Amino acid sequence: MAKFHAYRNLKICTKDCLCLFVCPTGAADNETGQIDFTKCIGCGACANACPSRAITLIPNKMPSQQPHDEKVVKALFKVANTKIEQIKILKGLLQNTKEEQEQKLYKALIHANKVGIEDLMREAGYMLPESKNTHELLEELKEKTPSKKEEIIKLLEKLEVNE
Amino acid sequence: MKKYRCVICGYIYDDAVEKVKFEDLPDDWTCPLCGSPKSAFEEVKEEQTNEKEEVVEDDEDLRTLTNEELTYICSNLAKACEKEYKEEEQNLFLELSKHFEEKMKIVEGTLENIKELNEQENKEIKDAFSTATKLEDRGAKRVLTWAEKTSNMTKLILDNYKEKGLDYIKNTKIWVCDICGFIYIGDTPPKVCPVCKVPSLKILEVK
Repeated sequence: MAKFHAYRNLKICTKDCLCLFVCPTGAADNETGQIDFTKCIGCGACANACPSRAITLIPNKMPSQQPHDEKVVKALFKVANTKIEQIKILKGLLQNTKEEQEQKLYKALIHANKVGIEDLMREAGYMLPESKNTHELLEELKEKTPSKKEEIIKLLEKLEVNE
Repeated sequence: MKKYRCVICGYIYDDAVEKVKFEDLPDDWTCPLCGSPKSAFEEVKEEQTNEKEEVVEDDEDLRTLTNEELTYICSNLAKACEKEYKEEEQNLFLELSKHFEEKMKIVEGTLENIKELNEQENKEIKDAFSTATKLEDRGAKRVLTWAEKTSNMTKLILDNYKEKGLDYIKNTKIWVCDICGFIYIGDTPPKVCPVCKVPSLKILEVK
């Protein structure tokens, strides 16, 4: 089985179409604009030829994410939770003001904290959707979150565990 | 001759090479790299290198994840799926994130409370950095470096807003870096984010 598959980033693609010339299987040439993953053999010819570097080779199986010591994870969660407390207050402040510029300031602070928390979670063991950690979390949520069971089962089916 | 460092972006103002001494710069002078006020600069002390390296113990057990934590774990995993071009999975994680966010409680509070939490956060970041240093976790150090800078930035914004009130944000745009959370108040954002160095196309205007 191929180790990689090519993906075309349509935001960057400048339609030079050199990938069409070099692709040995015709996977790069099809009506959807995206590469035909079923035909792609992951050879990388398209990615090497692309003048705008719009094609990426993605591993079919990601390597294991970096391990983190439990002490580090705890410390990161602590920071994340202090940010969460700020978001809870900021959401209230946002609801209680009609002043447009003030709303923007609160929205900016909420967004900044959200981005920060997401990044902290990434380093606290939830970097890869295919990781064992994520898989175990989804398994746990499947039982605890009946109203979203269907979505969770779909994720468990689609995301093959990589470790 | 002294040197000063911007706590937001790390820009160094060196009295030895500049025409004007830092002390003599006007109060409305701003950082040439990120636009932070003069008050965002601290003196560089050469002996500052002895980084404290201790693991800060925390006896709180790992407990079940809260709705809030799940909100952001899921939105982070959605971003990861987006990077891997897995659109369907991305949307499923966003769906889950929304579900948990709806359960999130809003708390009554003031900007003073935010200021206190910001100070607490800054201390926690420093403790976490020590732990990550001791355990040689470079990934954690990376996120904490960004977190410390954005937390310094939040402090400056809150201080400025307290001092100047609405005048501080009147007739101007507000921007947020979608990668690290850097906030810029002004008409045009910097070409590169001063904290995480991403190009400005990832710095979004707040609408």
